[in-house]
Amino acid sequence: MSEISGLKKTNQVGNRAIDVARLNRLLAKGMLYFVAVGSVVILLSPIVWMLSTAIKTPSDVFAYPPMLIPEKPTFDNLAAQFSNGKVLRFMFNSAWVGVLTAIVSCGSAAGVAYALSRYKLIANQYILLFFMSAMAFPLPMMMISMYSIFVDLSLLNTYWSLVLGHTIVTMPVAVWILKNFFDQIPIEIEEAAFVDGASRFQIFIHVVLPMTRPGLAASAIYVFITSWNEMLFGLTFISDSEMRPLPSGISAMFLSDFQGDWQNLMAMATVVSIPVMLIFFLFQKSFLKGVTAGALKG
Amino acid sequence: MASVTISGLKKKFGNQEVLRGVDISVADGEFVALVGPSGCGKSTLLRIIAGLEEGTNGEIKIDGKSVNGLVPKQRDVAMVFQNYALYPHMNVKKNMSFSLRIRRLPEDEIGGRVTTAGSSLGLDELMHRYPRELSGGQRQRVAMGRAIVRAPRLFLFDEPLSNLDARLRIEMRAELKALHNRLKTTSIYVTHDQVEAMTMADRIVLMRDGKIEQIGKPIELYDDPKNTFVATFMGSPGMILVDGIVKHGRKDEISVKISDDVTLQLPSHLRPKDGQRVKYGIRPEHIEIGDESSKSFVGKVDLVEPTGAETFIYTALAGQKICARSNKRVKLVVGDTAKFTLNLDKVLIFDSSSGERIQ
Repeated sequence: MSEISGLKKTNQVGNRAIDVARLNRLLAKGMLYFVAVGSVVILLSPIVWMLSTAIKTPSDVFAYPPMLIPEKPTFDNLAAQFSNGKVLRFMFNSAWVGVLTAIVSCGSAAGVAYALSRYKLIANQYILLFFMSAMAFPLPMMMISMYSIFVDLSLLNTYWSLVLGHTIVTMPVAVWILKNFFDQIPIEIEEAAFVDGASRFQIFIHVVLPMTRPGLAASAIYVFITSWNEMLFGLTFISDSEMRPLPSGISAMFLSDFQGDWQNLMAMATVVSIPVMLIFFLFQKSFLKGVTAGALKG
Repeated sequence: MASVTISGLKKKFGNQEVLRGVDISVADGEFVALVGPSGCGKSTLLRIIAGLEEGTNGEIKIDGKSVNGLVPKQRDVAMVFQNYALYPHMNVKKNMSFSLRIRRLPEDEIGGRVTTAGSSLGLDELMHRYPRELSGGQRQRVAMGRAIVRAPRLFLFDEPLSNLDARLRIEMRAELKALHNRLKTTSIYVTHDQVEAMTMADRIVLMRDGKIEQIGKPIELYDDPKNTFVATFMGSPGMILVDGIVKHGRKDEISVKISDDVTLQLPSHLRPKDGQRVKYGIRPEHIEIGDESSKSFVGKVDLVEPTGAETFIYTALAGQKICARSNKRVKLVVGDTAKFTLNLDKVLIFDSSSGERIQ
């Protein structure tokens, strides 16, 4: 009898231990969801408010209590942006600068990353560290030296000042993404091309680059989006309002054309966000593949 | 087609000497296999011939001209890699034509060469497939096709069949041999599989620790090994070696004492010194089972391995493992006792300390 009661006691202790473990797991899961949902709400709320304001009439913007979905939604504000010459001009500037930056930044990053990946030098890790440390410098500090260089090169108030500036900012990440990709290409494939009679440059162009398309796509998307969103360079290096890219152009308009005109300002913000969102959603897969490449390498 | 002469070739990686003075001559149109255990330097030697590595010392000549310092393109050699090394973003046709496009040959010539090579390898239907859509054997064919279209002076094969399953390996072995017989291009073939080397090569170069142990026709290495390494490496299983001491008896009889109870006779042409420590060598197929004579000994069967065509029977002689190969049906089971008879004409002996053959 005493044996049985002892067994029961052990079982009770065991059950309690299982309950505590289950409770801990539930708590951990709950915390995870709380943090995840909280982060999403914090991140999305300005965007949701931007979309909501963009389809409101002037009277609904300041209505009390505030409405998330207006009673009479209007798309006039959004439509008006597509006929706004200034916005279209800014969009063109941003797109042009973004595309050029993607080509220059990814092109140079590919060369650097390939050299770092294939030429095993002792200095390699220092070079990579040097590239990464460039990201640690505050942008305004770098802008001072960039400004004086661009003055010397007569590049101020040209698209090239933005392209080069954005290249300096984005290249370290592009090098890092692409190096991971190059590291994964088996050396035998390049050796096969070498024996086939290709030069190092031909191997790079015909064999290596086509094999790293996802990496190139990921870094190009990253560079384009960073360039598209960048504001400070546009305000500092460009003085002609016609030449300004979107963020700096909008910020200037915010102070002049759109004073108090919130629904139109938000409609414009919505319109300029669309290309970035579209690019990200369309290329999400290759972008994620690009930034996580090498993460699972054994 | 070309001849290849390698003289005094050495290669060091840091402090490690991978090749320690290699001398080989490969005749025009010859098929030579470089064989040896992992890490013996055979692949490094092939890579140096291809121009993918530089030797530390020595010289390589192709058709009498030194190719030291020349890049692969200038050597006009083609190489088939162990893992095929196909370009994954190109289909079969583009994989095969890549080297010709790099050389800017006219389109119709490229098309003609690719079609001919593809047909000879049975790749006609696969021309638009990508490497990921091919089986191992098909990939291997494409890798060979890529080498053939160039019509190079020299083919280099780096363990090209090692990634294939056993059945396919045998098929491809025959195809490769037929291909060589047809094209007659000088070929150097690296493998760690001595059966592959025996069946395919005109001559075998057996390497160990960066040095050549023996060069010769496959059957020469098998029947006439220079040392215990060659004797045990060639053959599957290799030559049986039993440790013993030479005893000169009366009437000019020489035997090898294996233990206090066991003494094995030597053929009359072998005359090692009295008291010399030797290894008594015999191949499994030269040990017969069942015959009773003065040359036989009785052993307990430790293991029976039937493979269909032949059966391997393992026993112990004075505590040393022995294997007999029989191509007859054997009804022995583990634990049985059997009579094992040695074919004395085929016995070889080696010096115990140096491993060199005593003749």
